Amino acid sequence: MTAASPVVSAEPGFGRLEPLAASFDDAVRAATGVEERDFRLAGAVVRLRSPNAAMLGRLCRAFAHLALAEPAPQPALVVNLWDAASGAAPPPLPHTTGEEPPGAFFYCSNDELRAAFRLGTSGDPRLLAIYPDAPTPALSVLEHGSRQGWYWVADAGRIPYWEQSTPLLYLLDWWLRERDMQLLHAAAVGTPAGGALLVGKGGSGKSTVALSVLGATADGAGSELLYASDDYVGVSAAGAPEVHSLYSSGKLMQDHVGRLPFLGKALANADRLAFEKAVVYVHEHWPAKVTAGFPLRAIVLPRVTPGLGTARVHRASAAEAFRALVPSTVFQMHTRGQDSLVRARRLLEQVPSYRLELGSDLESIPHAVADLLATLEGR
Amino acid sequence: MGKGGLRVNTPHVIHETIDGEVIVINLASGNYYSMRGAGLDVWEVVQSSPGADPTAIAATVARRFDAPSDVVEREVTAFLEELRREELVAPAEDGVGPLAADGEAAGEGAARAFEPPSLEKYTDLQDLVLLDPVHEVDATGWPHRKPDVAQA
Repeated sequence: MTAASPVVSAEPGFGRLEPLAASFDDAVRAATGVEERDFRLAGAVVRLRSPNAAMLGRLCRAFAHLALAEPAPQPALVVNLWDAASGAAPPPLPHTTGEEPPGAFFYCSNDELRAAFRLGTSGDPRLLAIYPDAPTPALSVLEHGSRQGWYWVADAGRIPYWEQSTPLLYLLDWWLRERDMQLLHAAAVGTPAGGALLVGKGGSGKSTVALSVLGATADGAGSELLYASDDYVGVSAAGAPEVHSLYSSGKLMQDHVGRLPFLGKALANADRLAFEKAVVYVHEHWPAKVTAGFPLRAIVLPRVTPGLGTARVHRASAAEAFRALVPSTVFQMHTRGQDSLVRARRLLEQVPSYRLELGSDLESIPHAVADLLATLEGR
Repeated sequence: MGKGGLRVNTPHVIHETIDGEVIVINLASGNYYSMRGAGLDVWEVVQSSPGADPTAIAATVARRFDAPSDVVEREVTAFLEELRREELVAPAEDGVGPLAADGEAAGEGAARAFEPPSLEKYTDLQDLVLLDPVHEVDATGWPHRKPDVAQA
């Protein structure tokens, strides 16, 4: 459990599968049909399905690099997506007092399922006139055993940009844990032979390093490194650690976009940068530069270093890496406990950690990471 | 500090030891901490002996070090007070409990040079707890206002 945000007792229906399934079935009956799309996420087939084609499209965009050309016979996980616009009765939601902030987070775990509800705001036009990015209420539910998940929002037209770029985060966190993997707050770049997790809190330079591999190098060849993530990634915990890309999206603070000018043509929200981080769906512009994953060879802690020119790498302690990776993951995922710290410690004891000092020469960043990986692979 | 026993403040507090540091996360406050030096010994005794009295904890830790016991006990007592202020430890519901056998036995090994316990506090992620799951929010917990409206 977590005490991170307001967590209250939920009404009985909030933690039960039947009324949830009934709400989704109502929405399906009210629609002309259900659209389905299959993806291979962290080695298993995940099917997203919805009676609302626009909602499905918004939530599938970040997974497109993992899309399967043909429907799979038996997905490992089916996630049902719907919203209140269908006219179906909404699923059971937690009781609220009306005084909670829109970011209030409600969590329920029982024998059947895990459920998380973000209160959001109902869409009062007076509020939206002032707060255009106020999120819509959202419910995420995963049945234990990982066969079915549900994601409901009040208004699919108001799913915030950060959720569209990294959708179903809580569901995937729970699902990966059931599969002996962990979802980490980290970027990742590498080659088929091996790659690095880039760890650190927001603003540490993770996204800059990850997205820098998309730029041209002085010789015009470009970096050999491929892009797997800039924010959240799956990592297998059993055996040799493997990185699994979940999202092809990348997000940058608005004032950092100028440092990576090649991103300019690819911004998905260039008209909203006054309110939103810049978002890039990497596979849409650099399809050959996106990878589904690679063996994990190194943990890298980017650090912006004023006065430095060329990027350089130094060894870091496992404890330093733990501090950079684990608290930010725990606080963002909300429902982490002691077990996730143990898993992270085991990972960091297996894989060496390095500090990557970032200077003004951005072209040197992918070189520094690639050289480190080549050294570790004995190339 | 009172005379009651202490315990790790679960479930609000989770922790792990790695590479000579104890990293402690306070899920309620959004702060996290790094313990070093004799802080590892203090934490290990508190964790393994829930309900142990601060005086007994200090005495147990003092036996592990090649240093005057009163010096170690003073440092440990102050450290426990700091842990309590940060709500990393809490009074044990069952009052004072016994020291775990391994906590007692640990004092019988070879004494080490004393490095005072230290607690480094990190507050840089508090916003994730206070404002999450909406990450891009201002200090009031709301998403960014439209500048033109905010200034109206």
